[in-house]
Parts: sequence; structure tokens; C-alpha cells
Amino acid sequence: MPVSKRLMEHAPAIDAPPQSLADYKATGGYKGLEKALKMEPDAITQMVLEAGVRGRGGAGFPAGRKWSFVPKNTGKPIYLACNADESEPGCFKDRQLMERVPHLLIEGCVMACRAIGAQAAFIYVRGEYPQSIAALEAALIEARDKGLVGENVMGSGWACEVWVHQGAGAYICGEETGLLSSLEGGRGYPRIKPPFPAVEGLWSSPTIINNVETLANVPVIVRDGVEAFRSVGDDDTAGTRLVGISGHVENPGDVEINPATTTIRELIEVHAGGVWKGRKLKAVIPGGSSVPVLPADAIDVPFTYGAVKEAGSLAGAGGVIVMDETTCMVDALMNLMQFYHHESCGQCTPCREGTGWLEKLVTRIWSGEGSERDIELLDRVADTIGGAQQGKTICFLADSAVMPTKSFLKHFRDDFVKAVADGGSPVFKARRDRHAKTSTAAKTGTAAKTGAK
Amino acid sequence: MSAPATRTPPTAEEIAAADGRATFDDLRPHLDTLVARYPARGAALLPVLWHVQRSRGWITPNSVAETAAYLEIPKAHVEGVITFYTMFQDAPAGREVVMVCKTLTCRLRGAQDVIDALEDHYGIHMGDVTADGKFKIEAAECLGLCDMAPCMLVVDKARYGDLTPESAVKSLEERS
Ligand SMILES: Cc1cc2nc3c(=O)[nH]c(=O)nc-3n(C[C@H](O)[C@H](O)[C@H](O)COP(=O)(O)O)c2cc1C
Ligand code: SF4
Ligand code: FES
Repeated sequence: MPVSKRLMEHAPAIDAPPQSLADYKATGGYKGLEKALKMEPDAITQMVLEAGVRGRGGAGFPAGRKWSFVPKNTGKPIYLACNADESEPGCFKDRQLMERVPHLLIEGCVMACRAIGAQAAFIYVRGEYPQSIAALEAALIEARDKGLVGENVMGSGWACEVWVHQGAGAYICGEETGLLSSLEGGRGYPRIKPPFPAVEGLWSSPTIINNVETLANVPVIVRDGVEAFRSVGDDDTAGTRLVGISGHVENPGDVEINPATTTIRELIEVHAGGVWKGRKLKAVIPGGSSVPVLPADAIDVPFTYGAVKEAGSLAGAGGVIVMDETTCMVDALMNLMQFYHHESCGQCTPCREGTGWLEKLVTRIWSGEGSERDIELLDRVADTIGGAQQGKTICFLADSAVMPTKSFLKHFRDDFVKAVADGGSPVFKARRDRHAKTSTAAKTGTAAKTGAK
Repeated sequence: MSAPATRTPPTAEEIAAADGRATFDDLRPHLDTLVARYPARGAALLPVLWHVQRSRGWITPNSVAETAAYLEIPKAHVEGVITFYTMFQDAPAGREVVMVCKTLTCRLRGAQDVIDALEDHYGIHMGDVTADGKFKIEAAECLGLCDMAPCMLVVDKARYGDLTPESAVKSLEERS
């Protein structure tokens, strides 16, 4: 099956240094910006709209449409915030993009600024990615030096600055309004919408937030034209997608695909070398940990938003997590609930308390203390805690915990029933037996205290 | 699923040692360039805290007061931000901070064994500082390195992937 390379077509090898400005320019880099500077800003937005590129951060909102929401002539400055927080378990594509083709993102940011009338972009990179930050900072030095970013972009007289802003460890800062709160120097608390950020975002000014990969598509769209862009993908998912495949596969990694012609099965079997150790497949979470899990027989679908949705899940942020036949789904769900409980920002009671309940209930079942009633309760709690759409919570984090929970119970209830009947998850029992055997001295008296010398 | 870290408040000597590594006036020139990027002074809080932490090792009580005064924001706000983000250290954090991923992909590929091995080798719980003061080792949520699972990173410096219990211990032992 053909690999469809566009964003990563000229990307250096994974461990090689990031692509230089010279190399980027030699392969058509900054041609899109050059063209955009000669266009009316609205015409750039129109092109992005017609290209039909949808947000790659998870929600899949059409980028051109979002840009068109920016109000005109408010007298306020306008900002672009690039979401490079990438904290969704199973996702690592934005990191690859920033560390291998940093100029592609910078060009995309400058072009988006031009389209929406912004004079500054902030790239919010998660704190755990200093290598990505270094690649971007180095590229920005080159770009400023050559007048591609700064006071007078390509001699057009138009000014545009791009700043890299480092996060400090919090999943919720990937939620777009949490990101804004964090960028303003606060805790990463999501904000009630409306007002939408396009109208009232950073410092109460109109702000567009887009994912790294979304913005990286902009230079390609303008440089090659709408038709060329739409020649890959389908009406529903235009352009390529970067997908990370991880978990129980032989060769975890990233691949750029034509979503219309690549199935989830091919992602696993062709691109990732198949399920590891010759084992059978049990389950796949296709779009990052927040989307419903799919059973092994539901993965013969192309990786488009529409097809994955029809199969019962979401293509989301393009992080395919693979689980083999030995996986205990109770253990996997417990792990995810620890994650969501830990990452809940705590503003909304259903989320703060609810994710805690989910974690507690799965843990009870995991450790052999659960009953059939706890399985029912788990299902019921999941039904009551989400609901950002209905205004019950400020953001979608609680819903992100609900989707795995409901789908794990739907497709893998047997694992839960078995854990209740057998005195816990096999993972729990193996740990308990090992602990009984090994000395626990190291874990009791001898730990150094934080701060002790 | 490790036991919680044991914590004692920093001693006066530890605080003095950290503050002694750089005066706030030493930091000011760089901080001024950070503040200049934002339309509001307070927005520089995260970058300022990063610079203070890198310079002093951890964010001491004086650092909190100095940062608040410098950015013209309440001290309570600075405290709130430090405790909200996992990567800000408000107590001595060893010479290097190690984050070991515990989330799903890493767990599927053996993260728990890696964590157990590090706890046993250093005789600590996740979240503690090793007895020799070299590392603070903590269990972390997904590091965005799932292609390298199981993995860990040494904050600001290095990342290690495809870990085994042995290679995890060896990787840290080789950092002097
Ligand atoms: C809890 C939560 C975490 C999120 N994390 C990220 C993230 O790390 N990166 C990202 O691009 N989008 C993330 N999103 C989606 C953003 O809110 C937003 O939709 C996206 O950045 C918009 O850009 P796009 O339209 O280009 O995708 C997250 C959403 C939620 C609810
Ligand atoms: S839903 Fe959860 S994470 Fe989102 S704002 Fe409410 S408490 Fe915070
Ligand atoms: S789950 Fe460990 S790095 Fe993503």
C-alpha cells in the first residue's frame, strides 16, 4: 500500500538534526507564504475553507470555517495560538513534525496570522518536549535572520512575530481554552463557551487556536492549490493524516497516510509490523485514549473521520493504541481512569468527583474487591458525569473519560465479570504473588525522604 | 500505583543553598526579554518560573515572592500556578528530575516493571529523591513518546525509550 507523504515528504530521519532553512526552501518551503503575501487575507481563508482541512487536534473542526469567525475591525489585536501541547495518550505526531520539519509549522503559523489578521503567534509546546522547543527556536532564529518572521515579512512591510511558549506538565492545557488560561500565566483552567476564543480569547482579544498538524497543512494548500490538496483523502477527510501507532505492535511509530485508502488494520499490519510476538489482536483505540475502543473485528475501515465514526469510534488525534490478546481490559481501563482523574482540573464537580469514582470503581474490580453491582455502577456513573455538550461541564475532559469506560464495558464486559469472579485482574494477581515472594525491605524503611541528604 | 512520596519541608540550609545559586538580579536581564513577548506582564509567569527553576534547581519560597513582585501579581497566584503544573518543583528535587511514564502504551509494554526496578534499585518510592541526591524520580502520565514505550525522560536533558528494568537502571547509573 502506498505511503502518502506530503507534510513529511522531505523530513530528515527521526534521529537526524531538524530540517534546515536551506533544505526546506530547496523543496518548496516558504513558497506558500510568498504566494499568500500577494493575496487578500480573506482569499487565504477561502482557500483553506475550500481545501476542507479539518482540525487535527481531535475535534476535526474545519479550519477555514473557524478562521472565518474572527470578527473584523474590533480595534483589538488578534492572536494565533498553536496547540502543541500534545498530551493525549497514544499521540506523538506533533512532536515528530516539530522536531523534523520545524519550518513547515513556522510557515503555517505566519500564513495563518496573515489570513486572520494576527501579528503574533504563540506556539504552546508541552513542557516535556524541550527537543521540540529547541528545534523550533533554532528554526525561528534562521527565519528571523532571513526576514521570514519579524518586522518586515519577506519585504512586504507586514510584521508578524512567532513565540514559543513552554508548558509545565498538565494535560488540560491541550484543551483550547485551558491553553489560553495557561498562556496568560494562570492555572490551565478551561473557560465556559461562549464567548468562543475566535471572538474573545487571549487577553479578551480574538484568538484562533489550531493544532500543529492543522497549521502545517496551510503552506501545502496555498502552494499547491486546493485541487492538488484534495487529491488525497476524501470529501470528509481531505489531505493526508499523520498517525502514530503504539502499544502491542512490532514497530511502533509514525506514518503519514492517505486516510481514504488506509485502513486501521493496514496501519497495524503494514506500517507497524503487526501485533507483536505473533500474538492475536484484542482491541484498538484508534484516535488517542479519549475515544471509544474497538474490538479486533471492527478495524477494516479506512482512517477517515466518517468511516471510523461509523465503526463506533473516532479518528480523533490520530493515535492508534494496539492491545494484544493477553491484555486485561480492566487493567487498561484502570490505567486510563487514573490518567483522567489525575488530569481533571477540578473546576466542575461531575468531572472532579466523577473521574475519581470511575477510578475507584475500576480499581475495586481490578483488585478483586468488586462485585457485579460495581460493574453496573461503573456504567451508571459513566452515564452521569459527562455532558459538556449539555453544559454540565466546562470542557470535554469528563466525556473523554466516559467514552473509554462505556466502550470497554460494551465490548469487553467479560473481562470485568471475570475479574469479579476470579478475585481480580490477572495483572493484580501476578503483582500480589510477586510481592509476597520478594523482599519488601526496600519499600518500607529505607526510602530517602524528599529533601533529605 | 506506587505509595505516595514521603515529604518533609525544605530545611533553611536547602533554601539558602538554592537561593545562593543565583540572585534574582542575576536573572532579571533574561526575564526582561521574556516579559517583552507578551502584551500583559503576568503572562510571562510560566517562562519566568522555568528560568528561576533552571537557575536555582527548584522554586524556593523567596523565588515565589520575588517572582510575584517582579510580575506584579499576587503571591497566592504564583503558588497556585506552581502547584497546578507537575513540572514545577517546590522542594529540593535532586540534581536531575526523572519522569517515568506510567500511562497506557507504556504500561502495555512493561512500564510497571521499569518503575519497580527503579524503586528497588534506589530504595525509594516514585516521587522521592534518591539518597545520593542525584535524582528525583517520579511516575508521570503520557510523555508523548509512546513510540518509544516504555520510556522515561530526564527533564530538559535526555529521553530514553524501549526500556527494560535493567536498561532503565543502567541509563540513570551512567549519568554522573
Ligand atoms: C481534554 C482535552 C485535551 C486536548 N488536548 C489537545 C492537545 O493536546 N492538542 C491539540 O491540538 N488539541 C487538543 N484538544 C483539542 C483542542 O481543544 C482544540 O479542539 C484543538 O486544539 C483545535 O485545533 P484544531 O481545530 O486545529 O484541531 C484537547 C481537547 C480536550 C477536551
Ligand atoms: S470538565 Fe473537568 S477538566 Fe474540564 S473544566 Fe471541568 S473539571 Fe476541568
Ligand atoms: S503512554 Fe508512555 S509516553 Fe505515551
